[in-house]
Amino acid sequence: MRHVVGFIAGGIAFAAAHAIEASHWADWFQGSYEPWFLNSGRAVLFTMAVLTLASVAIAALNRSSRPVRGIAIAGGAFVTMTVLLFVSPGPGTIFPIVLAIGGATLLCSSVAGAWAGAVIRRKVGARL
Amino acid sequence: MTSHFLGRMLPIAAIGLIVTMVGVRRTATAEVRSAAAQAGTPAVKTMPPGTRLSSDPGKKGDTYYWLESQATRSTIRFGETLVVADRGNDGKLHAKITDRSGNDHGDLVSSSSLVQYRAPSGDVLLAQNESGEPATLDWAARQAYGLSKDGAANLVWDHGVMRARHAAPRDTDAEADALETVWANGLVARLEKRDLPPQELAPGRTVSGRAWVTTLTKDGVVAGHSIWFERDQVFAYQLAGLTDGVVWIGPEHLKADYGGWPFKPDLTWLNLQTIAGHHFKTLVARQGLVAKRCETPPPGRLAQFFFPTVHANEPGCDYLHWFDATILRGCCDDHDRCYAKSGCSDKSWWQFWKSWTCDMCNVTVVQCFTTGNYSDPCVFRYAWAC
Repeated sequence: MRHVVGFIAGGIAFAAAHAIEASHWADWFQGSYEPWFLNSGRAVLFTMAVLTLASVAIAALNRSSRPVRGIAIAGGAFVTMTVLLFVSPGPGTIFPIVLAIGGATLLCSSVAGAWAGAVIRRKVGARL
Repeated sequence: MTSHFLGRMLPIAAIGLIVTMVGVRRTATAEVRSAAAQAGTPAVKTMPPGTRLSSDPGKKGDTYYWLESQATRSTIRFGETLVVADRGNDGKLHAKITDRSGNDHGDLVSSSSLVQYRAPSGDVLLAQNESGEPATLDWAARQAYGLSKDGAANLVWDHGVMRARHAAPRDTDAEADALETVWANGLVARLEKRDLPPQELAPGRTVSGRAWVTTLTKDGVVAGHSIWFERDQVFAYQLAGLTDGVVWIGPEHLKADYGGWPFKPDLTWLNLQTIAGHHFKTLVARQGLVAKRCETPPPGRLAQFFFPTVHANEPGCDYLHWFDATILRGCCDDHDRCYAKSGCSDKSWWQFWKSWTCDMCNVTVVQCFTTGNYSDPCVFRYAWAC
């Protein structure tokens, strides 16, 4: 179940990040092309930050004795990313490369966040 | 189990929802305010996401202007007249006209909005800059020369250049004898015109006559040569350590795709093209991504390499525009051309049985991304024909 939670939370986190990027595309993210996190360096950082924070929160709040895997969170974010990529204007001419690079970015953020969250949980749990 | 699941999910979903709503609402409010404040002003013309931005192949594009912006000085010699154009620290362009003895014949200062010209007599002309094109060193030098020769009275704009109404348009490329372009990284391109005897570039392909010859130096050491034959419309170049022998391109290589040269080469283009070739090839070679020794690239590939410097208005990497400023941009542009020429679409990735040519486009772009090897003519050389 914890992986399902992580999967869904990853999807929600990515969708939320995308919605914010789309609504502030021109001013915050200075995007010149269509709103998409890999089209702007700031958006890449923002998405990574959101996913990392979400992963930290999920891993820290995990009540199970076993840890939440970052890959589950990344999986949810990846599915959302793929759906958004295909649903909006079309996948583009190099979409497999986009998915690979986007997936790697999301995986790094999620794994790092989940690891940090697990560390926090252990330390807090030890004090309690 | 269900209550545990909900208990975990609800806080996360609530946080996500609140953050999203705050972001979206702030934007909506700002849009309403902005619309009210700007009522009566022209609306921005938007395009649907994913719209392809194509440009006239003969028009100078972003890459050209980026290359030009790295030039710090341009010196053109017109007979006895010397025009030196510099890029000032204030972003303005300064062009000074002298004769060979160094006597002052006026100067010109140009910004994006104003042009100030001082005639040899001391009279000053101040005009709005309505050239309609990005200001370049080359433009400033030619503009200054034209005003010094034809006068600054009763001026009109003619194809981005001010000229006296009574004067005929000047062909400054024909009038110029030499051009020196000082670029970043110690690169200097010096062009001069020569009359050359017949030379055989390839079996059965002879060129001769008036030629523009550019010598490229890097920190004072000769780093390459390029040449443009006016009558034969042939361009050739050689870069020390970066090309194997002379590489050339003629109208016969461009006939199928463009019907010939899609633009009229000028002196500045030749210098910038030579600099660009050295700069980009060095950049790739320095990263160890390019096989340095191989046979001359086929003409089709050559055309793909050269044209981006003059018509790079095409979009780069779809949904990966963050990479547009990197070396991978070339991968995407090559892939786009390959797709356009072979009639491929995004479906070609999974409908791989429909076109081997599209498959080769895809294989090449993947290979290009994984190795950054977009300008290596040795790898996947057959794919470049697609």
